Amino acid sequence: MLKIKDITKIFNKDLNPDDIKVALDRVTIDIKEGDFVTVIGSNGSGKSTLLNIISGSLLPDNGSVKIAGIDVTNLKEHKRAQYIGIVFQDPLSGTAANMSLEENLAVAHRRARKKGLRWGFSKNLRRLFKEKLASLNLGLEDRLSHKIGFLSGGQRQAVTLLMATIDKPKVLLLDEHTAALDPKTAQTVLAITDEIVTANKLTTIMVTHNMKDALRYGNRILMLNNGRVVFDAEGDEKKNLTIEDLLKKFDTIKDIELTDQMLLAN
Amino acid sequence: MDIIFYILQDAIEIGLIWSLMTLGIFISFRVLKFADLTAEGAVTLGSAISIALILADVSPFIATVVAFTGGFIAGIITGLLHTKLKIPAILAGIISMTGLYSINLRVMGKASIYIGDAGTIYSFFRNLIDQPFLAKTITTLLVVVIVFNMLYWFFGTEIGMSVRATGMNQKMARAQGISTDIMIILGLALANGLIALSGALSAQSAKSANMDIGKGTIVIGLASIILGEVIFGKRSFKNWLISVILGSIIYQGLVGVAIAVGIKPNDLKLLQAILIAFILAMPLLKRKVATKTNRTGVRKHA
Repeated sequence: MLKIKDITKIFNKDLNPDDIKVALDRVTIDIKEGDFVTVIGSNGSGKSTLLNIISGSLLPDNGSVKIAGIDVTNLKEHKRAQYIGIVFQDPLSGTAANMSLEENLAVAHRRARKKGLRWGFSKNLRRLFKEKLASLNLGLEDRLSHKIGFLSGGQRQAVTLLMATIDKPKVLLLDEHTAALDPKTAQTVLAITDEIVTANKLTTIMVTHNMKDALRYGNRILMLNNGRVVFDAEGDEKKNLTIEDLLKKFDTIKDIELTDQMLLAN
Repeated sequence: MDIIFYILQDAIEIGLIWSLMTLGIFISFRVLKFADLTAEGAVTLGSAISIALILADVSPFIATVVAFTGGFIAGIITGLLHTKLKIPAILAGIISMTGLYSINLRVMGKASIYIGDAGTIYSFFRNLIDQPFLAKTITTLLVVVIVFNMLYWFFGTEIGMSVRATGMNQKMARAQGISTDIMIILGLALANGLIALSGALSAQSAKSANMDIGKGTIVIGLASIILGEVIFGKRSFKNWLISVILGSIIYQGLVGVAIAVGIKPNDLKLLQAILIAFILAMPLLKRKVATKTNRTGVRKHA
């Protein structure tokens, strides 16, 4: 479903050699339809860059990205959005604060299609939005006409998740989407995420700082370090992994200092 | 009492005409969050085009539509400068505004033109109703009501909502498959079209166009928007649009009062500048006052 081939991304190319940062170094990943992949790695390992290259907010220096067989490497972000649903880390990023819940959902509902001069909602659409919001179990179904800006961070992330998936995307990207939430809310949003992903059999990539979450969710795990995939496990191998195993992996790549950062993040 | 009546009458007559301009400023500054200075040139462009065309025996209705189109194109140019050539918003507006100065002079041929007895868009109702104020107000009100309904409809459509989403959160808009460049261009075009339309009505109401008509447009527009928001709120988009229109009338009322109490028209611009600076600083001032009272509050408890 998603084929990433030989992707290289270098930052600060124009500066002197000391400042050059190789964010991704010939990364190749092949993700099957319906895979739920969690991606871990320390700060600067390249996980966010990877997601940004898939979503199109960054263009790679080399390599290609294919979604469902279509080469999207040079497709503009908004054109690529027809295949991709994305939830950002910052709860403020994924929604338009001054627009109502139903207006946000209406915009998202047309993600993959051309926007015309049709009125944004209809009775049927409202019913669909209500139904979807009710499935979040956050009591939002009665607040369709409320401005999104009045919702809490967790509620906004849940709505963003709904927006990213209301029109089933080929690939769902989650960029540390619970990192800015308090632990309890983060777990609620993760549970909702898992539910939506499983129910719709979505091909998903979830970047996270939290090793526990990375092990608990998904059927495949990738570990990035210094712009390379250093560990890749799926199925039973992933199921049997423990945090200790992951820490050992980190140790073997001699990144002790950064590992400490990750422990603190938990 | 008479003076109050005249102030009210002027506020409605002028405020309604400028409410179209205010709606334009609202679209660029509020909906798109784009500080667009094209506005100052677009007002003059609208008045110049409409008067010049009427002088050339074009029907006032068509002259007004062409004026709107002129502003629409000016907005497209500012939008292209910003999105395709990556020129910062303010500069893109300044470039268009500067260019429009020469264009406006060319359209008019000289610094000011009069149409004398030629018919205007106001003539139709003026011939029916033998009361200038009423005839004018009905005409303008009709235009405002049509524009209001079209705006309300447009911003509820898929494209209209995409323009609003773009103004609020470009990152989100792109992630939802919206071409933010096109929405910015479209929004600016619509905004400046309305601003030019307002200029066209104003010029036809005064039966003349001159190069100075656009001066202070943005300040008047912003002050009207803020007044409307503060007094009538912005709970929903419909409510917001209505607030903006009413804000324009109230602003003109305040200008009328200022003149009535003896402030010279020449000093008005300074007053406007001070007023808008004060209004824009309000949120900060409010916060400062709040923290101060908080602090004293704490001291009292301590």
